[in-house]
Amino acid sequence: MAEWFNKIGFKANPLEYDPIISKVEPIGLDNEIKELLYRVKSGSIVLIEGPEGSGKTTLLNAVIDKFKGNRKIIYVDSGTISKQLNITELLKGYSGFFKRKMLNKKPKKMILLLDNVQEMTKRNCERIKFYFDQDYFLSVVFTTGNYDEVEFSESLIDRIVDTVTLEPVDADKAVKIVQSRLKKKVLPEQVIRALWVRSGSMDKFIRSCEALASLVVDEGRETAEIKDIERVEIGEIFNNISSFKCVSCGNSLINIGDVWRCEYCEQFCLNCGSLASDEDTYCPGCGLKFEE
Amino acid sequence: MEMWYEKFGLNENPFTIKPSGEMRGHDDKFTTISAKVSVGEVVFITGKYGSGKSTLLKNIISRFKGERRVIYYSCNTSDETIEFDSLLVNANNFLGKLMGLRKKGAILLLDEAQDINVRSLLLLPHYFNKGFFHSVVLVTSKPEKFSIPREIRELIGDNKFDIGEIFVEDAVKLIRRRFADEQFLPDNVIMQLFLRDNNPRALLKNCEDLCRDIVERGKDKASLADIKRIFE
Repeated sequence: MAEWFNKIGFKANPLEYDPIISKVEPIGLDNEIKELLYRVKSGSIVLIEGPEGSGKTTLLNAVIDKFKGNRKIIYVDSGTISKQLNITELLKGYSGFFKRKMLNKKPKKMILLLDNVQEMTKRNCERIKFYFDQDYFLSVVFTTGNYDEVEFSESLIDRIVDTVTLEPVDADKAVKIVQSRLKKKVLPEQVIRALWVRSGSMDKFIRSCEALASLVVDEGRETAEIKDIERVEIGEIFNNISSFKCVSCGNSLINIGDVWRCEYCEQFCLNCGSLASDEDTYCPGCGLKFEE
Repeated sequence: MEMWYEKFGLNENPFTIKPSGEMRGHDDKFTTISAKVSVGEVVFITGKYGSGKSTLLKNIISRFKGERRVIYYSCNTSDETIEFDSLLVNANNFLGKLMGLRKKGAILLLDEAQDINVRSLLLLPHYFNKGFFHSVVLVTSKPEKFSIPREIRELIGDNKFDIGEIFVEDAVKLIRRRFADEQFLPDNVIMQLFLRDNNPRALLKNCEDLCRDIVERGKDKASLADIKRIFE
């Protein structure tokens, strides 16, 4: 079945939000990318700081694109790995089998990309400094949404040659991003602006744009109108999105309050969405008495 | 992507802040320190950020590897007592490791020594006197925060070196060894850049930014006016 974006001439989803999957050119970050690529190639430690949706991972993605192949890139999202992660072991993992098993050797001149570095332990930060000094890492790029939470030692801070501060996206920039991704098709400027105002976050904004674009295209129309926005209610938006299907059984999830539950795989309170077990007679979340 | 230094026939950034093999300006001091390490003594080194402490440590590592085991330990990674025994077992060869033997005669480099915990410091003389550590190098950027017990102070004796001071001639030598083109980057420009921060690491970074800017503007010579334009 053709996806909505195939019908208007795109091969891949132009509104893909996940920057790691998205192959769409980033917008408005040309200078930052040029600077970052230079720093990475010349051997530096760089810190990228900026709020959610401002393009941190997009910048990292540009580095991956430029230097991929040759087993030179290590990408780590500190938010998703355990605190026990040891940079030394990670580095050894990138050596060839023989070097690693027999010689206990680590590869040289790797590029380390560390997303959400505020989650990193101080110990690992010091290891990174040491491996950078010894040239096991040619370059290191850290990203963080909150610099105050980062536990860097002063000597590591002194080695950071460049800090890229990304601004939060405003309405004008948001319009530019969507227009350029959709090549000005389907969504007119005032519709995009209205969606921006309604969405609280970049994530939700892009998802709303995608939902509206697919709705209009599937109805065989060329452009969305302001009144269409009413039809893209939150529930309807998320029904289009695969990540809101149950990972176990694939059925659509139900939205209760802030949480999403699967009615086939989970047992939960219909009032507040808290998970419950067979023994519970009262909801552990809101205290409502369960019916038999 | 074309890098500015490729124009000068270089494959790598000549002004990388990574500690390089060569010591700048401290040749005499380094020879002395290296001799002390070789004989087997406890040495205490102070110096500000970017003054060349890591370069010195890297030099010791490459000078003595193969000859002796060199153990590097950064004291700011943990508040706990250093496990000297397991460091020594790990420094052993495969068979020794298997049998849990402690390596003798290793060289211990303690970076960020001001953050070492007191117990580790008190244990240190024992390991040194028993010959587990042939020599110990204590390095700190904050000597004022480092209270050294009497026993260790006696071991250090006169082996105190401040590598924090670097003179402008040394700074020029440091840059010259990495980048020889005097036409493009004249000595007086290097001097002027150095006097801004009095710090080798800052100087390297500034040289990089300056040279890159000049190349990207298509000019063939850096001048004092360029320093003013870029850094002020």
